[in-house]
Amino acid sequence: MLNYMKSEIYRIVRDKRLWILLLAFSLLLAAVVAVLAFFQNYEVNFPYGNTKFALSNIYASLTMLMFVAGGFILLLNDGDKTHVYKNSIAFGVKRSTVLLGKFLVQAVTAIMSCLLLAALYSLLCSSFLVHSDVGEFVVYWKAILSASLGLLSALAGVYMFVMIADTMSFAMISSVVIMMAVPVIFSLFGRRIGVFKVVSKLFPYIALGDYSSHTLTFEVTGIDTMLALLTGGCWLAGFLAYGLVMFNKKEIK
Amino acid sequence: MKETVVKMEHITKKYKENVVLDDVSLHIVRGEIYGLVGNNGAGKTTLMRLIAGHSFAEKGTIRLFDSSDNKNLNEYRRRTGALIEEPAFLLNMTAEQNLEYFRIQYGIPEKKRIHEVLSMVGLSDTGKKKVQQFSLGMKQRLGIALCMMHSPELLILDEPINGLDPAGILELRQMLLKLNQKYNTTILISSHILAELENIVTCYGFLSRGKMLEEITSQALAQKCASFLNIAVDQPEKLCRLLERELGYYNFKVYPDRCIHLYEGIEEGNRICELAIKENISLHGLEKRRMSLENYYMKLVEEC
Repeated sequence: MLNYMKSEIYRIVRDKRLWILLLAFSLLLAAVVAVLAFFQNYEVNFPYGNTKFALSNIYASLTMLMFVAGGFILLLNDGDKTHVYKNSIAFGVKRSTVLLGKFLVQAVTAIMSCLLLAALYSLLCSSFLVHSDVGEFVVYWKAILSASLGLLSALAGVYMFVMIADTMSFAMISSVVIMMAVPVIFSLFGRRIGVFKVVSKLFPYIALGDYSSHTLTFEVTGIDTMLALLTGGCWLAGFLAYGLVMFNKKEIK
Repeated sequence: MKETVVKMEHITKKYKENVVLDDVSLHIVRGEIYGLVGNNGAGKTTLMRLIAGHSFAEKGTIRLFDSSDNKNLNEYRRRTGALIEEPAFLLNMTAEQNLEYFRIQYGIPEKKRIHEVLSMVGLSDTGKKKVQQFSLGMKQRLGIALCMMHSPELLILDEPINGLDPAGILELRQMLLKLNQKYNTTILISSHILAELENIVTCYGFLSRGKMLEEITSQALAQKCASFLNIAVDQPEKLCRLLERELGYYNFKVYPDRCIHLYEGIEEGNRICELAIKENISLHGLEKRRMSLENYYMKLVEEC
C-alpha cells in the first residue's frame, strides 16, 4: 500500500493541472477580496466590504463546495483515461490497495488544498476587509470542519463512480443523481409527506444545506453539526464499501 | 521435472450469456515460448486477462509457478510482466516519468533500470515528449519496457508486434529470444502474424471459438505439418478417382482453385504424372510443399 501511495503522490505532484487549479482558486479568492475592499474604500456605506459578508460566501454555500470536491476528483483522475491501474493489477497489486491507496492520496491532497485555500481566504479577509467582529471567523472554521466529512463523502462518491464506471460521463451522471438529484427530490416530496423530509436529511447535500442556512443567522445547533458530520461519515463509509465490492468484481479493460 | 509456470484447468468464462472460454486447459512449462494461436474472438486475450487478474473465470482454476492452490495469485503475479491489449500509460507524462511511477510502485530500488529498459526498446531519446504524442509503435515499445522493468520470470504479451515497423519486429524477436535463452524467461505470446510466431515459439496452443483445440510442441508440429504434393490440374475429379482406383490414395483434399493436396505417396510424383498422361488428364503443376502454420490451424478448426 505504501509503495502504491508513494507512486500516486509522485503522479499528483507532477500534474500541472492541480497547481493551475490551486493558483486559479487562489486568484479568484484574492479577486473577491480585492473587489470588496476596493468598493469598501471608494463607496460610501458599502455594506459588503466586511469579513462577515466575505466569509459567509463560503459557510453559507457549503453545498457548492460538494461540487468543487467532485470536480477536483474528476480532474485528478482525468489523466488516467487509459486505466493505468491495469498494469498495477497485472503486477499483483491488490485491487483494494489500488482503490483505497489512490483515494487516500487524493483525499489528503484535497484536504490540504482545502485548508490552504481556506486559510488564504481567511487571511486575505482579515487583512483587507473591515472586521465585523461577530464571531464570523469561528463560524467559518466550524463550518469547514463540520462540512469536512460531507465533502469527503462527495469526494468518495465521485471517486468510486469514476473507478467502477466504464465511462467518465456515466460516472459524473451517477454521482450527480445519487448525491444531489435524489436528496433534492426527496426534499421536495418532503414538503408534503413527512417521511420524505426525514429521509432527505440523511443525505449530506441536504444536511450541509441546512447547516449553511443556519450559519447565516448564526443559529447553528449541535444537532446541525452532528447531522452534517454523521451523514457525511456514513456516506463516506458507504461509498468506500460499495466501491470496494464493485471494483473487486470489475472487468478491467 | 520442469516447473509449470502457468496451469489453467477447465476454465470457463462467460460475458453475460456468451461463452468466451469453454473448458479450456493450458499448461506452460518454465523456459518455453508459448504461442497462443487463434482467430479474432477465439479467446486469446480473455485467457491472458484471466492470468493477469483483469478478469475472473466462472469455473476452473489458475495456478502460477507450481503454486499448490489458486489463492494468493497476486503474490505470484509479481513475478510476471503483462502487456495485454492497448498499453496503458499516464498520457501527460514522459516515458521516463511513467516508468518512474511504476518503479516506485513496484518497489524497484535501482533507478538506472529505467534507462536500461528504455535502451532495450529503443526509446532512450524521447526526452520530454509526452506519451500522448507517441505513435502506437512507441507506446507498444514502452509497454514492453514496462513489462521487463522488474525482470519477470513470465512475460505475457498480447499481440506485441501491433504497430511495430519491420525493424521493431526484428528487434523484439531478438530481445525475446535473448530473454528466453539467457535468462530462461518464460513467454506467453499471441499474434495474428503466425509467420512471426513460427520464428520463436517452442510450444503452441490453438484456440478456436473459446475452445483449446490442441497444445503441441513446435517439434511435434513440424512433424505433423507434413509435406504434401500440390497438384494443379484441369479435371480434379477425374484425377481423384484415378488416385483412389490405381494407387489407393484417399488422403487428399481438393481446393476451389482446382488444386489437389495429396498427403500420401509424396515421393510418387512421377508415377502420378505417368498415370495422368495415360488418362489424358492435363497437369499444370506438381510440387512438394509443407503445410504452413495457418493451414494447419485452419485444418484443425475444420476437423473440430
